Amino acid sequence: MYNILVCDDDKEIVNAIEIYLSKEGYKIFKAYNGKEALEIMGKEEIHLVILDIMMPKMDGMTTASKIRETKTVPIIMLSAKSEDYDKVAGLNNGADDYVTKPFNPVELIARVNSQIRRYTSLGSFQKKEEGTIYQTGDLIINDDTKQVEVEGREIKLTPTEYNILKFLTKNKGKVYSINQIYENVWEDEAYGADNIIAVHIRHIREKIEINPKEPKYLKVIWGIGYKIEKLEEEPKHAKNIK
Amino acid sequence: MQKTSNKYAALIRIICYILIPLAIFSILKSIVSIWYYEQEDTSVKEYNFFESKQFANLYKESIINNVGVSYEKEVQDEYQHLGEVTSIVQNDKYTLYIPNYYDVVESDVQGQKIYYKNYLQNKNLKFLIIDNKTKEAITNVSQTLSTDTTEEIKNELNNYSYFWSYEQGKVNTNISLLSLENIAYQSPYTDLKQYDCTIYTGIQDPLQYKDYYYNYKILHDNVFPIYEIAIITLIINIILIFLYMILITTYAGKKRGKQEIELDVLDKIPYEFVLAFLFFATGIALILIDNFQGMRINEIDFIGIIIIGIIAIYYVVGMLFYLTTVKRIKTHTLLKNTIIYRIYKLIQKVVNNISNNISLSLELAIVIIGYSLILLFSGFLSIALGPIMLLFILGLCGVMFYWSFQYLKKLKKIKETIKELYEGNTQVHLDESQYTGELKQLCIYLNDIAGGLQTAINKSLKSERMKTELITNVSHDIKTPLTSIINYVDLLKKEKMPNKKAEEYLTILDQKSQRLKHLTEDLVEASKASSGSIKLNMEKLDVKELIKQVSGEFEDKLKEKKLDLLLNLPEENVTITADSRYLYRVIENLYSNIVKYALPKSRVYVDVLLEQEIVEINLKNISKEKLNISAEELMERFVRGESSRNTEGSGLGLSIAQSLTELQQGTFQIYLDGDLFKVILKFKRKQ
Repeated sequence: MYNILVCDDDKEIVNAIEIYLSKEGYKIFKAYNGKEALEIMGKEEIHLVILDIMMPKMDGMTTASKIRETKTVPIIMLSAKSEDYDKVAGLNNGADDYVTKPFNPVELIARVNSQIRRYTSLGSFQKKEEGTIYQTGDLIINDDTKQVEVEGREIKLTPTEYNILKFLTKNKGKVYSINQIYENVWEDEAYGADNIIAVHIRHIREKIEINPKEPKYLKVIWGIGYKIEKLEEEPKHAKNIK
Repeated sequence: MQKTSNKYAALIRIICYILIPLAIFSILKSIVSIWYYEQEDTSVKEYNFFESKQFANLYKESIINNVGVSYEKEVQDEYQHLGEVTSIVQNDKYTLYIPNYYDVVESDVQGQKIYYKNYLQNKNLKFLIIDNKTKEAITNVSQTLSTDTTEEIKNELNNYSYFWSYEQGKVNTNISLLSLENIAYQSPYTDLKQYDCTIYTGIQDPLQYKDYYYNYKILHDNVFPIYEIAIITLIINIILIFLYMILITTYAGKKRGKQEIELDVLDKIPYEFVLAFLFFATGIALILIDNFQGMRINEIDFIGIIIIGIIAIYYVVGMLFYLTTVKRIKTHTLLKNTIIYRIYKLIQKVVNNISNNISLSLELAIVIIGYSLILLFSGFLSIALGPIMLLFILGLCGVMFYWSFQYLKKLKKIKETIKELYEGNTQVHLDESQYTGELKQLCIYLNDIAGGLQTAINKSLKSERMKTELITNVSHDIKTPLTSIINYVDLLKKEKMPNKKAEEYLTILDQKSQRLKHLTEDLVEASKASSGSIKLNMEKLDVKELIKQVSGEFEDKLKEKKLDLLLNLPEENVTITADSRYLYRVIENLYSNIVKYALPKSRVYVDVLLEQEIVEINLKNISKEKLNISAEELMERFVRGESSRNTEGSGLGLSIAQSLTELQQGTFQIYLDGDLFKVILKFKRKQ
C-alpha cells in the first residue's frame, strides 16, 4: 500500500481526490496548506504528493522546494493556473508533473499510477528483458518481442503503429514530416495528399500518452512534422540531484 | 574665498591701473636701452655721451643739415622766406650775418646757394660758416659778443669742449669719430668739400640749451647704464603686464559683497558707440600729439608734459574700453548690447509678428511683391552704380533662393511626419519653434493629433491588458469551485440514482459543467489573443503538412458526423512564417467548428491555393442551421451560427481564430452564401 499526501486549501477537492485514489488502493493523507503538508511529510512515509499551488500560509511552490530539500518522492502540482510559464515554474520547483484544474479524474489517477510505478518499480523491466531495445524516458520498445511498455504499462499497437513508433523512437529527438515517415516506414515513395500517417500518429498518441492533447513522448510540431521526445534514461528524479 | 577677494577688487584694480603704465615705461626704457646698446660700441663700459656714436651722428647731421647746397628749385622755394637777420656786421673782411633762431640764410654764388638753417633743435651747436667767394659769413655764436670778428668767433669755437672745423680742405676736430682719418665713419667733410667754404663748429659741455643734444644726452645717461639688465627687465615687465591684465580681467565689474558682475552706465551704452568713441579718441590723441610735436615753442618741457597728459588721458580711455569689453563678454552682452543686434531683433520681431498673423498665401504674396520691388529698385540703381549693384542683386537672389529652399524643406518635413503618422507611428513630434506662420499652426495641429492618438492607443492598450488580467484572474477563481462540481458530478454518476429523472438531471449537470469548463478556457484565450498579450515564436512551416496533420487529428470526429473531407493541396511545398502552435489553434478551431456546425453527410472542402506572394487556405462547408446573420455578426464574440446555445461551443472559436491569425500577420475572412460557410485565411508566402 502506498501513501499519498493530498494538499489543497479546498477541502472538497481534497475529499474528491481521496475518494478516487482510495478506490485505487492508496492510503491518503490530507493537508490544507503547505505547513501541514511538511509536518505530515516529516511524520509519515509518503510515496507521492499532490500539491495545489495557491494556498494560504505556504504556497505550493515553496512547499515543493522544501520537500525537495530532503525527499525524492514524486510531486504532482495541481493548479488553476494553466499558462505555460506556470507549468515551467512548477516543474522547475521540483514537481514531476503538472495537472490543471478542473482536472479529469481519470487523467489524474493515470498520472498518479504512472508516477508511483516509476518511483517504486522502475528499472526492473530493463533487467529482465533482453534483445534489441529502443528507449526514451519510460517508453521502452523491445524489437525482438515487439513489446511496447510505457511507465510500466504494456501498450498494444497495430503493426503499422508499431513500425511508426519504432522508427521515431530509433531516431528520437529528430523531426520527421509525414512524407519522410511514409518513405522510411513503408519504404515506398510517398505520393498524393495522404493523412493516413497523421491518423496513425493520433492513434499511437492516444494509446501511449496519458493526455493525448499534451503528449509527453510523441510530440506534434504543427506544420513541420512529428518526433519522439529525447528523454534522459534517468534514474528516479535525477534532475533533482543537481 | 571669492567673497573676501571681492572685497579688495576695487583696490586691486586701482593698483593695477597705476602699475601698468610703470611697467609699460620700464618696457619702453628696456627696449630703447637694448636698441641703443646695439648701436654703440659694445666694448666700452663707461661711455661718455660726447664720445658715443649717437652724438657723432647728431653732430654730423647737424652740420650737413645746417650747411648745404641746393640746385633744386623746390629747396629754394622752401627757404624763400628769409628770416629776419638780427644783425649784419661788416667791421671785418667778411660780411657777418647773425640770424635769429630757425631762420634761413642763403647766398647766391653762381647759381649755387649756400644756405644755413638755424634749427631750434640744434641750439647747442655753435657754428661759423664762411663763403670764401662772396666773403659772407654766418654764425649763431652769441650775438651779444662785442667784438664780432670772424677771427674771434673762430678762436672761441676752437676752444669749445668739442669742436669740428673745415678749412681749406682740412678737418680739425677733437671728436675722433668725425676726424678725417676715420674714413669708415664718413666725416661730414665728404659732403662739404665741393663747396668753397670754411666751417667752424663746436659744442660746449655741459650743454647749455634743452635741444636734441640735451634730450639725447639724458636718454644716453638714462638708458646706457641699464643695458646689462635690460632684457631681464623687459621679460619681467611683460610678465607683470600680463599679470596685471589678468587681475583686471578677473576683477572687472566685481564689487564688494556682490557675487555677480555689476554693469554701470558705460556698460549699457551700445558697443558701437563705445567703439566709435575709442576711434574718435585715438584720432584726437594722434592729431594732438602730432601737432604738439610739430609746434615750434621754445619750451620743449611744456610740450612733453602736454603729450604725457594726452597719453595719460588716452590710457584711461583705453582701460575703460578694455574693462567694459571684458564685462560685456563676461555677462554675455557684448553682441546683444549693440545697435545692430537690437535692429536685428526688432526686424525679427516684426517679421515674426507679421508672419504669425497673416495667412500663408498673403505671406508669400508680400515676399514676392517686396522682392520684386527690391529687384526693380536695384535695377534702376544698377544703371547708376553698375557692378556693385549687380553683386547686390546676385546676393539678394541667393537669399531668396535660400529662403525658398528652407521653406520647401520645412514643408517636406511636415509632409513626411504626416506620412509617418498615417503609417501608424504615433510617436512623431515636430519642433514648433522652428516654424513660423501657417506652418507653425500646421505643426501644432499635427502634434496635437499625434499626441491624442498616442494617448488613445495607450489607454485602449492599457484597458485591454487590464481586461485580460481580470479575465485570467476571474477564470482562476471560477476554476476551483468548477473542479469540485465536475468531480462530484463524476462521483455522483457512479452512484445509483433513485430514478430515471435524477439520472437525466445528472446528465444535464455533467454537460453544463463541461461546457462551463470550455467556456472559461476559451474566455482566457480569446481575451489574450485579442489584446495581443501572446508571445509568438515565429518560424518557417509547411501549410500542407499542417493541414494533413490536423485532418488526421479530426478524422474520427469527421467520420462520426459522416462528413466527407476533401483536401486540395498543391504539389510543391507551401512555406509560410507563423507560430506553429497558434497556427494549429486557428486550424483546429475551424475544424472543430466544422465538426460542430456542418450539415452531417455533407462534403467539406479544404483547399490550399498558391499565388505569387500569398498562400490562401480555404475551408468550405454547408451549415446545418440556417445562417440568418451576417458574417460580421458571426465574428462578434459569443455569437454562434444558431440561435440556441445548447451545444458545447463557447461561441468564441471564430473570434479566437481571427485574433490569432491577425497576430501572425495573416488575414481572416468569412463568406456566407446561403448555407455555404467559407473561411479564407491568407498568409505571406515564404520562398
